[in-house]
Amino acid sequence: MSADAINTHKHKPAPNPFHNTAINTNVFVLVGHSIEAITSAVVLASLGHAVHLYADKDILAQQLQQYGFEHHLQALWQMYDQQQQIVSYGLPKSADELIQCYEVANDNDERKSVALYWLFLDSISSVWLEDSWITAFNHSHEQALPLIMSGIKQLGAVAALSKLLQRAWVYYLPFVFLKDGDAYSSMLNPSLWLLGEKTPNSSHHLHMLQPLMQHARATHHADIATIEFARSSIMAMLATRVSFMNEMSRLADSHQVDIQQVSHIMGLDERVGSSYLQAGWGFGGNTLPTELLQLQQSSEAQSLAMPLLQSVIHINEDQKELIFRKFWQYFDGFIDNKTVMIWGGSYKAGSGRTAESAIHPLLALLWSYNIRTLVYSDKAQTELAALYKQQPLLELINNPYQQLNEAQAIFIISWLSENRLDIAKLNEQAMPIFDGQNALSRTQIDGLVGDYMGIGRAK
Amino acid sequence: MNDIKGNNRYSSARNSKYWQQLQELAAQPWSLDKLFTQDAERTSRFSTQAGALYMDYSKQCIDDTVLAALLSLADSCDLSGRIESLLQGAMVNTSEERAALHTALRLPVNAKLQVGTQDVVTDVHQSLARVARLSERVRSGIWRGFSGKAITDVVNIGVGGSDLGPLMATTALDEWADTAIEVHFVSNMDGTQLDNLLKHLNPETTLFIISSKSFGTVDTLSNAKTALSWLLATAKLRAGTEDSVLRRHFIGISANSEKMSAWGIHPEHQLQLWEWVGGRFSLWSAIGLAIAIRIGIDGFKALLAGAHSMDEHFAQADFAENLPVLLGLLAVWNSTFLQVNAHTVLPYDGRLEYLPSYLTQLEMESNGKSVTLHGERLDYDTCPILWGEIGSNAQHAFYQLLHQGTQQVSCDFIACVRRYSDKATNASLQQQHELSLANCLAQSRVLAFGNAAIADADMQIASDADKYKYYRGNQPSTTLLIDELTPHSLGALIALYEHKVYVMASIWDINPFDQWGVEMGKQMAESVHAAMQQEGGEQFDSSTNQLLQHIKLLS
Repeated sequence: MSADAINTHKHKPAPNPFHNTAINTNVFVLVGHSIEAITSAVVLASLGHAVHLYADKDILAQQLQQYGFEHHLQALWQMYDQQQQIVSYGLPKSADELIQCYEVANDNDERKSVALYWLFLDSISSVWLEDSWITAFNHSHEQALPLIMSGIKQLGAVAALSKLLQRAWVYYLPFVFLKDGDAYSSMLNPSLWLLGEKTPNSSHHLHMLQPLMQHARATHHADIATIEFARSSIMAMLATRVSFMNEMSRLADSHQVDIQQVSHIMGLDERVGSSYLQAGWGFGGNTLPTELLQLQQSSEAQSLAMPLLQSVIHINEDQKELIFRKFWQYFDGFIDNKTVMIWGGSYKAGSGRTAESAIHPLLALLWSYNIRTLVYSDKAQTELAALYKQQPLLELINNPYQQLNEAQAIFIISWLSENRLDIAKLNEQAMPIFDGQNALSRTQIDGLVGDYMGIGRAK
Repeated sequence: MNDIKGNNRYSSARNSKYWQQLQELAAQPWSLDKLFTQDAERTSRFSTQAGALYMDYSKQCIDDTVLAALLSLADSCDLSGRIESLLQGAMVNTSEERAALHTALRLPVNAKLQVGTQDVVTDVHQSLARVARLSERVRSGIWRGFSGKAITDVVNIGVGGSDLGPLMATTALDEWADTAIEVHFVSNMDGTQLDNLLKHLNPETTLFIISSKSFGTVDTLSNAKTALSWLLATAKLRAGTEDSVLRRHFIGISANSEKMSAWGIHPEHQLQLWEWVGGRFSLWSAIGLAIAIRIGIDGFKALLAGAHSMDEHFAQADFAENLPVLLGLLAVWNSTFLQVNAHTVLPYDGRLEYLPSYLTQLEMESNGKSVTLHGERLDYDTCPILWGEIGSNAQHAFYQLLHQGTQQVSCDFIACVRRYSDKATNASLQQQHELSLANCLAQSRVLAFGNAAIADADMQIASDADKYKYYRGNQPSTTLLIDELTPHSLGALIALYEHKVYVMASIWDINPFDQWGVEMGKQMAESVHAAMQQEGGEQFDSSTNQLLQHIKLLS
């Protein structure tokens, strides 16, 4: 099958992948539609590489829309897309089709060389059977080409895949550095660069990624299984810190202590460090919950009890409805038919994603009591609108203060610190605030006329 | 009431010539061994099936003549008319002047039943919709305790029919439970169950169902009061008010809404019973809320549908193939004519653990009567003493008496044919199930045929000194095989026994729907309780007075 044959793909017609040769003849072939895949494509393009991104085009378009809040990334994507430095194609039905596009070309054709293959496992597992894509790569004539895998799988799964691949230069690159809302910069200057190598000390075969490694604040290379385990352990530790602080916040409630001050003090101790010590409604997004789920499955597969992780998960789930319970207690359960304002909906301030966000259980509970919900969430507005378009009790609003006079309480889920709160406007209504994010500073709390209930802190 | 006759207007079977005939037949010696030897085909005639229930009654001491006489006896007291009276809402509970419309509780929504001015089906389905809504709110986590936490545990406080029915059904159907919410049952007046339970429950997440038809049952209300105190002790620490605790932690089920309100049950959390639902027939009503919480409203509706299918069978099938009619007539034959005054229920399935207790109440409270519907004293035996146990456990407890004791005891063996078929790693469980089934069949065989069940068993008894090895057999039994235990088949099984009870009562011409025999004890308990709290007092018999003195001295 020639490279042109991809055009014959019935479902995803694609242009000739070698149409543009102006930039670099070494093409980076990426497969996947995840934010990691999109970010990698943009970063590689910004480093001057030609990128061919294979993904389900509909899902890719959805992803790009959902990540509209990643302004920098979006702008670069559009630019490189227009310049055809990033060319995206529909995902072929099989890996064979993909590989043959690049391997069976005219010997005189200089445009066919591939720098590396990069597979984003989370995106492809639903399309390509594991056995078949491994077989396809094993039948490939270009066994010297590096192959990178990324994504969150069960412990040991990537290492097992690497063993099945009959090539030496196989790598695992977990995106532990990626920050939602700042995806591009966080990959360009990674906080931690972990690389799993199938063949020890072979990272020089990824010399084209050298700029990223050089910019990393910390790097470590090891065998793939170790890197997988380290990735899981890091994520589980971060989740544990959050749940621990949330557990402490419940005690703080009854001791009239502000948990946010406690977090600050704890962070001054170098042994503890300051990250992931913020009490709030818990953690959401894709990474931490997926990671914990995978760990849970790994432990179950080994018949190994992991009570600490179970508690972390349990506390986190329970934490998501804690502000609802505070609201319930405030009104002694007489909450039916009220109207409330909710600020933010994303799983963290700055993101537009609502995956595993507390907004979902909160809305469901409020609606079950026939409570009208006015939601202001500039970044997650689109996602919420798509998810709940049939819900008559949901009103998405564009100004956080505009309809405050209609509400009897405010919930805060995710509020960007750079958006200054207008305490004067809040005081005009003096309604209770249920701050699931602990977004208000102590000064702001002290300036409130109405009641304030945070997580492990109150007025 | 409907125009259909109340039961006191039907003729009595006692006066029919078939009664006399059956007495004469019963006087003959009956040998199951001979019956089977003489008639190899009897099992094909003395077995029948309705839906998922297969009944083999060939190991009863009957022949074609007895069965024909029993069926004629049923006709002689117009059993068909009595069944119609029951199902159409006539005043079958004559002493309390009420219908007994438990069958209406499982009528489909499109059925019609008007009793007096009441559109029964509409009312029943409105109540069912409320059960659905409340159970769903609890199951989905919407229902919250005083502190805003979702409910994790439901405690059903009730006694008798408000306890045994839901307890039996939730235990039997626990495999269908699709919620993490645990359901517990409390009935003891002395507080033992509640005391044990409350040690492990969280007041913030515990919901109590107070079930009492009258809402005056002292057993239930004393437990409810203890539960309220327990909740308030925690709620006060968390700034929860008594109003909030009552509103968030109690559902009441009763025919007396005034008493529910006076106790503090919020009107929205009151579920209504009707006077025409007897306690021991009430699991199909709102009393079944605990079942609906545990297995979901769809499972509960399947239970109702199963019972309704048996109602239809009861109403429509020829008596010769009618399971409840046959089961009831055989029970009358054993108890009244053969004077077998003990009956045991032996389920070979751990899920039916509480079925014997449930049937103990159903049969003995219903038919433990000694006067006719007209108030005349009976000159024949009615309800036998009934008890039971999971069969395989009973083998190690009281089967010795069944096999070698001096009493005649009739038995119901109950077993499910298919089990564990949906589990992947179940080979050993399936083997256990097979073993259980084998024991069920083996025991009914040995009880029926004694030593003759095993070819060389007689050879083992070489002398009088070996007679302790002798199994006399001839214990009558019926075996009920259920295709598979599901909400639907359980519903049919329970309805089968309900109707069996009604058939027996019809032949005996007694009222199975009252229970005056439990009243005097309640009244006396009030007097004794009052005496216990007073100084001195010699108002009772010398035994009671002395026992009271002993208690007072030590307490």
